[in-house]
Amino acid sequence: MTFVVVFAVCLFLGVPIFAVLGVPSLIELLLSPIPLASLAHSLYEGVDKFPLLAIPCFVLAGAVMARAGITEDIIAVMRRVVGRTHGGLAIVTILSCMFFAAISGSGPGTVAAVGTLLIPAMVQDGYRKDFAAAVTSSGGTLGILLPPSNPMIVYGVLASVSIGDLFLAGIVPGLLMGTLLIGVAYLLSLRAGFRGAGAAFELRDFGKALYAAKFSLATPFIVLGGIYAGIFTPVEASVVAVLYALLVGVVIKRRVGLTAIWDSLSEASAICGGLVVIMGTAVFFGEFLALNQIPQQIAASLLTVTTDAVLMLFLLAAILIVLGTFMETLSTVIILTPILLPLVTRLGVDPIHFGILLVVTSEIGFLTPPLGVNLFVACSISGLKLEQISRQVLPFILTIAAGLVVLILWPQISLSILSLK
Amino acid sequence: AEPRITLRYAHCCPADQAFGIYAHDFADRVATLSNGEIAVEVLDGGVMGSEQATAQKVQLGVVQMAGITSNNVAQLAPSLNVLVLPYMTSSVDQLTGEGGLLRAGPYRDELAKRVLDESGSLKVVGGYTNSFRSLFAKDKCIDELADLQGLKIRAPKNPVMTAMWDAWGVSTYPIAWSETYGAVAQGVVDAFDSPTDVILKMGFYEHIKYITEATYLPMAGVVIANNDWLEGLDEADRTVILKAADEADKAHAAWVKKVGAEVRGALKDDHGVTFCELKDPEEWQSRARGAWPELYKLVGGGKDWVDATVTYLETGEVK
Amino acid sequence: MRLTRLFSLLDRFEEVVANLALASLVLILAAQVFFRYVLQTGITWSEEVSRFCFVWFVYISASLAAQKGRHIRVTVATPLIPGGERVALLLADAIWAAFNLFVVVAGILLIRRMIAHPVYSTALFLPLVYVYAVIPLAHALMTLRVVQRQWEAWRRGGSVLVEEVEIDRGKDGAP
Ligand code: NA
Ligand code: NA
Repeated sequence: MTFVVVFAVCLFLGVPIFAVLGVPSLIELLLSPIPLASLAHSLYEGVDKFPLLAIPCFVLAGAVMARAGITEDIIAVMRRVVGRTHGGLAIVTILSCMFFAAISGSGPGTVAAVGTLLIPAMVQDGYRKDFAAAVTSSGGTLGILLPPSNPMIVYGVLASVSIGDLFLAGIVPGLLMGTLLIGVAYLLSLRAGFRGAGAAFELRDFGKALYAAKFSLATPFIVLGGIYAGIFTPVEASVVAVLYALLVGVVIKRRVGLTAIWDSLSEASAICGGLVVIMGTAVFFGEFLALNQIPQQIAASLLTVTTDAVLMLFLLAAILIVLGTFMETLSTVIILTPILLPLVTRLGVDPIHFGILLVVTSEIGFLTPPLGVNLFVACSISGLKLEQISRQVLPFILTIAAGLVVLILWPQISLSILSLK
Repeated sequence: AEPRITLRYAHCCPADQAFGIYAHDFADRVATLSNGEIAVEVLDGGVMGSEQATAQKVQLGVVQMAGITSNNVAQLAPSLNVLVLPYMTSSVDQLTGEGGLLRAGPYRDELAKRVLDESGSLKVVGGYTNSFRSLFAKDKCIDELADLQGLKIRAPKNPVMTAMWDAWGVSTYPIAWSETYGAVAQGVVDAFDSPTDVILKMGFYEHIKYITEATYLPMAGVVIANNDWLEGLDEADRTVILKAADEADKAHAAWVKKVGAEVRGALKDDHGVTFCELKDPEEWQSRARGAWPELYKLVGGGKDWVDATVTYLETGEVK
Repeated sequence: MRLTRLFSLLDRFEEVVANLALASLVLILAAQVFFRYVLQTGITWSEEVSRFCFVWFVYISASLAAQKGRHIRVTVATPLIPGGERVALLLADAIWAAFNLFVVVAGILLIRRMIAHPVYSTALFLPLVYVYAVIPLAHALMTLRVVQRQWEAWRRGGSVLVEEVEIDRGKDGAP
């Protein structure tokens, strides 16, 4: 009981999540005969996990790619694809997010990369600014569903399931969600009369743009292709992503020098600094949960509500969406995986399927205030207020929620790709 | 009634696997021997982290006991690395049979003393083995050293394995374990090594048709307890723990033999796997033992402790 | 002022150590990939050493993040606390700093133990005490940062959050 109270007080007082997880467990530790030194051991053990190395490497790769102009190339090609249709640029935005998602493991990172270029472009083309910001925030959520994905890496570590398999299982749901988002963006644009001023589609121009961007467009194929073909592990793929970004930036485009490399390292250090450290206290927290059999108790009380796997998934999805309004994605995954996974696997849910559902609820969390990180990024790019974007983003949230229902009911959408391996 | 003492015993694996079988059998025996006054709460499935982390948790006293693969305790107590020298032992009995290295007796007492000195707080109270690493091949029997030449063999890259394969004049491919199945299926490699039951449990028999149980390296598990906690118990309670561990050691060794026979039977009869015999085991052994000198530095106590172990195996005497 | 100079040196130290640790782990893993796929042979120590670089990277960059105010907090309820966000975050940071100090003590206790009874790495047989040392070190640095930011915030008359969530978070991606 004290455990829960201390946790809640710290959380709502605004203590950083990594300490929120540490403080209640520390109090339990001090009250037990267990020596204090074990705290330091848990913090070490929590981050001493090889698969986690992929996170800073993918972030670093993204930082180098931005400086190498790879994102610009991708957007240039997507603009040629869609041309003058209703909502053309909105569709371009989501397609660019999908493509960028294939090299980035982060949601807000995807919004930042794509939005910086496309929000101003949409405004210039006569789109309402709040709509433009909402489209980008929503498209950016695909950054964690389409592989690579930071939350999937963390989930894979905590759930002891193959990160490569999780990445694979995210592809079809990611494409499905992208298609749904494009559909909504198109319908909303049609109603509002937003129309692209871009050139009509021409095969020759498209071909030219494609050729000009060939090295940039090859990035996801090299990085993800290596994972799917079983050539690289996810960690190795993240390193290959860095090397390839350097190859494009330094050798081919000659836009990246030593200063840019150092700046990319600094950017990656700054971004990862507040993130991965949570794994340390999370493991400490998880040990106390395990020693006190708390996951079993929570499972038992949830099981009194329902013992049906599908109903349980709907119940958990609802809880996760509520938590996602004020909790940060990676922290939610880190805290809840050890509690919920044993429960759902007992009901016969595939851990990979559950991981995908966890990621999709996190996508919704990116878009829901008060803590909707994708919205924050879109705010700072567009200069709009949170409330303005929040209203426009609602149809997109409902779309992702509808997608979530489909994924819960038909696990094979995520899982059948694994049988092709 | 409520138990007077509760101790937590952690291990890596599911409850129905070799490590879990030991843990739960030990827990039952403690309950019986203490008339329910001592309860062992078994933490299955590695909830305390990796094996190395779990060993450190016993050392620190977060959990009181654990069953852990010996080389994962060796980072805290390098004396245990004597068990992973290739061909130090070459049968399950040399480890867990009467007079075996891990069976209660003069050798294990000496081992426990060294482990306690090195780690400060770990006491070895029991031991078991799953089985030895066997060699698996897709297309032909490996029955002599020469057969290894020209084979593409997957092996983990660690100092012991590397030294051993080098001694046999073979270079290996360090493919990650998770990718090994695919690599075997596609013919990227045509041989690898692991305990025999892996072939049955993971469905490798689709591709692996020949098994050589070459017994160069055992999977040795040691049961460790936090010594400060153990010493803090009453004499009678401590005796219960130690007695239960001794009984569990013997019961587990019998269980391993039974299961080993079942696994071999299933592989032969249900999946058409051929078991091959080495024609030149002495050659394998002498070459592999030739690599020992470069491994002495990994073993706490170095050459002296290695020699003492060999002497015990040959004479039954601890110097 | 001397103190300001000390802090700017520390800023630089954290950034340089974090960046070098990240660069080293990338280079080591790049070498591992090269050896595995090009030379068809493995390096026995690459995974181990890259993990050690990573542990240093994580904790030193966590201190860097404290300096830049990038740790993730839930701030829904902070305006509702009596005294508002400033007071809530002052209390929050006091709890945070206290936690860090416990970690520093725990780290020192563990390190003393590891000096008496060394723990070795698997492949290279390195004494792990050098890797573990980052935990008390980084938490001590982090505590300094927490105090520094609070002090600056109160002098300025705002909360530490001002440049934290909305502005800094906007420029680039958290997860
Ligand atoms: Na992604
Ligand atoms: Na949210």
